Amino acid sequence: MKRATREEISRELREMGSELPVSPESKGFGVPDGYFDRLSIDIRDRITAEKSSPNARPVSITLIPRRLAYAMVAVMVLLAFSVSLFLIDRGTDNGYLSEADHVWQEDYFTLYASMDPLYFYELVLEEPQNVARSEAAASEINKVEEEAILQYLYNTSEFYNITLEDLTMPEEGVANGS
Amino acid sequence: MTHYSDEDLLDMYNQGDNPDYAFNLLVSKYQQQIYWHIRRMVISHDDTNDLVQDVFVKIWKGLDRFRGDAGLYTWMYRIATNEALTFLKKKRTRYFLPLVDVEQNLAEQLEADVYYDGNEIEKTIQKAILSLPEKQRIVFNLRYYDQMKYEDMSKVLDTSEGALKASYHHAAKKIEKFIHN
Repeated sequence: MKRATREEISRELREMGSELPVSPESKGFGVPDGYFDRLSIDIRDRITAEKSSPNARPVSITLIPRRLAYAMVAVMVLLAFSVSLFLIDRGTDNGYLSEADHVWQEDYFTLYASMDPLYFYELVLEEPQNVARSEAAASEINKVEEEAILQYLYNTSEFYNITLEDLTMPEEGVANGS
Repeated sequence: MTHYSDEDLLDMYNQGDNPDYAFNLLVSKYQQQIYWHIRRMVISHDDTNDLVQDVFVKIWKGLDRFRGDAGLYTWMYRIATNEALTFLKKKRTRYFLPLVDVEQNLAEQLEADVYYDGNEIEKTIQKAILSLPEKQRIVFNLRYYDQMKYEDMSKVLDTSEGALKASYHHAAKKIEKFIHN
């Protein structure tokens, strides 16, 4: 496992204009004395207990009579099919497992990002530059996970002609569509 | 103590005469990293202790089937991340706490934690981190504290490197804003 060096972390923070201290040696959190020496023993004991448990390992299918095994598989397939039908047809308008949420999100992002993708991005930062825009829209967008919006903007950056630098270091006035 | 690579440990586990010994070496190698990763998410030492053990039991159970297409390290971190997130989700639903209250609860735990010995700046940074959305908190912790490369983080969190970089930058800005306020 190769980590980034402290220099890389520090440089990254400086490039984004951050004043955060580079990660200190002390994490602040402490543990009881000798904790990590005991932890490995505790883990070993847990695993030993798991091994001794009758449910520790799945029953080998070869120990089950073949006909019974086929019957069990068939029942499971039927059950899974029934449950999926239930979940698709019940619940919200299009079911718990529906793609509606993803479709809604995509449509929503497309609508607002096409108007002004970097304003849309500013809303994610909760620092809209242009408050004359619909505040209802701002309130709706803020409810959506920031990560989902960022991922969407990143995925569509070429389409909207946004660079990674735009997404990471927005400039003032960029929300005006310039 | 001899340091074994992940590949060596996997070989020892899969092909060696003593897979338990190989697994113990794996635990020794990664227990602290996994512990701190979870601890920064759930704050409480006692909760972390339980979760770390659960994580390693899951790792042990899954090691037979681990194909190595993702690195062992990223696979283990993924399990640990999911365990921490599941724990926080259960905490939220068990006590009917809305999102804000769980984070407030964690901040209060931080204040009361007898094992916390950080200075005021570190404590403020921790509280600022707790104010971030969960996934962004993970991104920040993995980069800032664990110095994880974005390439590895992408495999742990199943998110593109670009989105992770943007998320990390946002997190740093929010933390600074929190500190200044």
